[in-house]
Amino acid sequence: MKLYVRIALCLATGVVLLAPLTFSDRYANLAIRMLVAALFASAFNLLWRQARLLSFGHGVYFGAGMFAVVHLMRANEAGLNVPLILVPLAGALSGSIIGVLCGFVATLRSGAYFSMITLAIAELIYSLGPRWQALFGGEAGVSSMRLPSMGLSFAALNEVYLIVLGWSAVGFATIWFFAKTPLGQIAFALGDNERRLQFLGYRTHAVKVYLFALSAALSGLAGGLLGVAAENVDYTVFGPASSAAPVIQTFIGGADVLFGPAFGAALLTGFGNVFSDVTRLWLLYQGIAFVLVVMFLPAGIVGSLLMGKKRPLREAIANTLAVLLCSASLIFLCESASILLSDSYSSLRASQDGSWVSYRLFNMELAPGSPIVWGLPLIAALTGLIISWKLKGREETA
Amino acid sequence: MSAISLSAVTKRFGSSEIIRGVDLTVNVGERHALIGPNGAGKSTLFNLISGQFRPTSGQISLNGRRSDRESPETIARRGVARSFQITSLFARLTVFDTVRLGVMANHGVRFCFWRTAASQRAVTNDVLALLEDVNLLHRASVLAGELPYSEQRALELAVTLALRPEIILLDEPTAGMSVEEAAQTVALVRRLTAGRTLLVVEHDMDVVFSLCDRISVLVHGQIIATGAPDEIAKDGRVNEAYLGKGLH
Ligand SMILES: Nc1ncnc2c1ncn2[C@@H]1O[C@H](COP(=O)(O)OP(=O)(O)OP(=O)(O)O)[C@@H](O)[C@H]1O
Ligand SMILES: [Mg+2]
Repeated sequence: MKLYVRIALCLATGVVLLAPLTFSDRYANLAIRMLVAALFASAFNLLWRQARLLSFGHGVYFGAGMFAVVHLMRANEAGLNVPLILVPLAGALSGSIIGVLCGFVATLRSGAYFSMITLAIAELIYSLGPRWQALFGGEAGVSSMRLPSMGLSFAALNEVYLIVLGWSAVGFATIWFFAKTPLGQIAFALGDNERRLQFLGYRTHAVKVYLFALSAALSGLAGGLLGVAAENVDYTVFGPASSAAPVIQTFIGGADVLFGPAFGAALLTGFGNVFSDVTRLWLLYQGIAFVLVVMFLPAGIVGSLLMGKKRPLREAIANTLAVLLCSASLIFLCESASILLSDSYSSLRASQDGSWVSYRLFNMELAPGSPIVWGLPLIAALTGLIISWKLKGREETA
Repeated sequence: MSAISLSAVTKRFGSSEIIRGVDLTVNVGERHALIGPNGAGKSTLFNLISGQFRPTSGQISLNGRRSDRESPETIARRGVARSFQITSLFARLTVFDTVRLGVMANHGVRFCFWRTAASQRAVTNDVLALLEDVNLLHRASVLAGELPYSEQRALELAVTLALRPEIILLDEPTAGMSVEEAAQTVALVRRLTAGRTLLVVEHDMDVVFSLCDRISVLVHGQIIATGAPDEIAKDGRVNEAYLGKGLH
C-alpha cells in the first residue's frame, strides 16, 4: 500500500513537472518562474536552515546570475558559441564568485549583524545599478536573444522550460545531497552552537564562507535560468523586492523542511501571477499571509503539515473553512476599500452630487449603502472566528 | 617538556581580576586535578587554556608551544579537547551525529562535500564504539536537546573524547550524575585517558584522590598548593582555605 502511494506520488509529480512542455508561452513562462523562484528560495534557505544565517540581500546573487547570463547570450550573438544548455552555468559561476567575496565579509559576524551586512551590500549594488551603464545598461537594462542550439530553436518558452527543469533538478539534488555530506552536517551544527564547533577544531568562518558561496552559486543559477527565459534584465533585480521574496516564500512554505521553501515559492509565484491580473493588492495579501503564517504557523505550511499533530478530518475541514471565511471577507474588505477610496471613485461621486454610487467588484454591481454588502462579509468573518475559537477551546480541554 | 604550562597568568574582567598570577605545570601523561571553592576561577582558567579568552598577562604553552594568542580551533587541532561545565551541545543533532562531529574532526574530515557522512565506514565504527563506551548506544537516534541531563553530560564527554586528544580538559564531568553514573563515568575517564594528559575540575574528593596523580588548589584566582594527593590532604593552608570547610 505504502509503495503504491509512493509510486502514485512520483508519477503525479512527474506529470506536473513535465506538463509545461506542452504549454503555450503564457503558462510555460509561469511554470519557469515558479521553478526559478523555488530554486532561489531553496538556495537562500541553505544559509538559514543549516547555519541560521538570515540573508536579506540574496537578490544580489540572483541578479548577478541574470546579468552574467544575459551578457553571455549577447556574446553568443556576437559569435561566441556556447550551447544554450550550458549558458545558465555562467549564472552559477558569477553568483559563487560574488558570493565568496560578499560572504567572506558578511559571515565575519553572526545574527542580526550578518543580516545587516547582507542588506547593506544589496543596497550598495542597487544604488550602483543606474550608474554603471556598461555593465547594467542603465534604466533600460540589457537585452539579448536566445540563439537556436542543439537542433532546437528555443523560440517558444516550453522548449526553454526543458533547460530550466534540468538545471533546477541539478540544483535541488545538490541541496538535498549537501545536507548529507560531512560539510553539510558541520554547517547544520554551526546553526546550533558555533562556539562548540570551534572547540572541536572546525574553522567556522571558513564553513560559513563555503556555505554562503554554495547558496550564492545556486541563487545565481536560478537567476541565470530566468535570464535565459526573459532575455532581458535591468538593475531593479537588485532591489529590495527580489531579496525579500525568498525570505517570505521560505517562511510561508516552511524553513526547516528541505523542500518547504520550494513549495512556498511555487505557491506564491503561482498565486501572484494569477491574482495580479485580478487585483492590484496582491502584495498586500502576500504580506498579510506572511504575518499570519509567522504568527500562527511558525513551522510554515509544509512544516505544520508534516510535523503537526494528526488532526481528525473534521477538525482539519473546519479549520480550513474558518481560514477561508475570514480571508474571503478580508479580501472583500480590502478590494472594496481600494475602490471606494480611489480617486476615480471620488470623482464619480462628485459628478453624481456626492451620492454613494454603486461599484463593480468580482463581476457584481454593489451598492455601498446596502446593509447586505457589509453584513454578509461580516457574518462570514464572525462565523470563521467562532469556528476557530471553538476549535481552540476543544484543543485546550483535550 | 610539560603538556600544559602557565606562567604568571592573570585575567581581568573589567576591574575585577579573576585569575591573579597563576603558575601551573601539568606533565605529559599526568592526571591532574584542579580543585577550589565556587567562583575561584577554575572554569576561567580552562577558558584561558583552551583559547576562549586571552590572558591579560602571562604566558601559556601547550606541549612546549606558546598558545595564548591562538584561536580555540587552532588549539583544538593541536590535540587539546575540553568539555564544558554548562553542557554545550547541538540541539538539532542526534546523539549519533553529535559524536560523529567529534570523530570526523579526529579523522580530519572537514570540508568534504562529495560523499555522504554516513558512507564513512571508519568514522561510523568509531562513533558506535564510543557510544557503546558511554552507554548511549540505545539513544543514538535521539536529539541531543531531548536527552535527560545526565545523558547530556555523558554525550558532552563523548564528543570531547571523540577527538582522541593528547591533552584533555574536563570541567566537572560528573556534575549532576547519580552515584552509579558518576562511578561509571570516572571509570570511563580513567580508561580513555590512559597515557594521555588530563586536567580535571572535580568537586568529589574521593574521585579526585583516586583518579589523579597530582592536585592543584585554586583559591580566589591563585594556586595555593600543588602536590600529590596525600601531600594536599596534609597541607595546612589547603585545609584551612578549602578542605576543612567541607565540600559539596
Ligand atoms: N566572562 C566573564 N565576565 C565577567 N566575569 C566573569 C566571566 N567569567 C567568569 N567571571 C567571574 O569569574 C569568577 C570565577 O568564575 P569561574 O566560573 O571561573 O569559577 P569556578 O571556579 O569555575 O566556579 P564553579 O565551581 O562555580 O564552577 C566568578 O566570580 C565569575 O563571575
Ligand atoms: Mg566552573
